[in-house]
Amino acid sequence: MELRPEVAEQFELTMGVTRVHVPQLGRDYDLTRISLEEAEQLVAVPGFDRLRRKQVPVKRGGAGGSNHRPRKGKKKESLM
Amino acid sequence: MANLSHLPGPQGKDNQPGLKGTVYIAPEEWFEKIAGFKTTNGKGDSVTIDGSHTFKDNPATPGVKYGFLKAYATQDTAQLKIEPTGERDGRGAKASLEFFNPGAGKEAAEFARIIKNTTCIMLVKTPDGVVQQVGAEDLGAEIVGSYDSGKLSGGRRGTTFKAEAYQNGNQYYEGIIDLLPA
Repeated sequence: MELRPEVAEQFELTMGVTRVHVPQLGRDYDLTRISLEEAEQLVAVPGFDRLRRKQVPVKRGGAGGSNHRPRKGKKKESLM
Repeated sequence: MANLSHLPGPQGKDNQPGLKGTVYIAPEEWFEKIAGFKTTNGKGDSVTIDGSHTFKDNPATPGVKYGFLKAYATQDTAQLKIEPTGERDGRGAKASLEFFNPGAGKEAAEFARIIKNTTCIMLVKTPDGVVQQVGAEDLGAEIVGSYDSGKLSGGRRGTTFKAEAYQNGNQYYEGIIDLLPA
C-alpha cells in the first residue's frame, strides 16, 4: 500500500484505498502505481479525496531554521 | 416542488441509448457509508448522491478495504429500466437492471450463489459517462443469476443477472468508485 517513491515525496493516501475508478477521467487507477503527473491529475478532480498533497511544515526558528534572524543587542542605525 | 423545470429535447446533443460494458456491484455489508441524496436545492440535487460511498476494512486482508466488484457485461446486454409502482396517492418506482456475463467458470457460479443472498449497491455507466446507481441504503438491489449452457447448434453460454431495487426513479452518482483490490 505504498505510493511510488517519487509520488510519495509529495502525496499521501488518505483512506487506505488503492484501486479506484474515476468517472470524471473515465478510467481505473492503481494508486500504488500512478506517476507524479497522474497524481496531479487526480487531486485536481473535484471531490477526489483518496489521495492528498502532503503538507510541508513551515520552519520557524530553532536548529535548521532560517539564518535571517535579527541579531540581538544591536540596533539598526537610523538613516535620518 | 421548487425543483420542477422545463424538459427540453436533444437540442443537437447525443442521446445514445444503452449502457457501457462494466457493472459495479458491492454488497451493502461492505460499506462504511452509503451516501444519500444531496440536501441542497440546486437543479437535479434531489436525485444526485452526495459525495462518494466509502468501504469497511476487509478482515481477510488487514489494512485493505472492500470496494466495488467489476462485472463484465456482454455488449448490448446491459439495460436499466425504472417502472412505477403503487397506486394513486401512493406511488413509487422499481429499478430493474439486467446484463449477461459470458462463460461457465467457477467465479460466476460462486458469485451467483452468494449474491442472491444479499442486497447490493450497483453502478452503471451510460455511453456518455453518466453514472447511475441502483439500490440505496436499506433498499439494496437484489440480484439473481440465470445460467444457460446454450446448445451445440447455437445460443449463448453464460449467466444473465437480473437485479431489482425499489427506488424513486433514476439516481445519479458523481463520486469516486472504490474498487476491490485484485
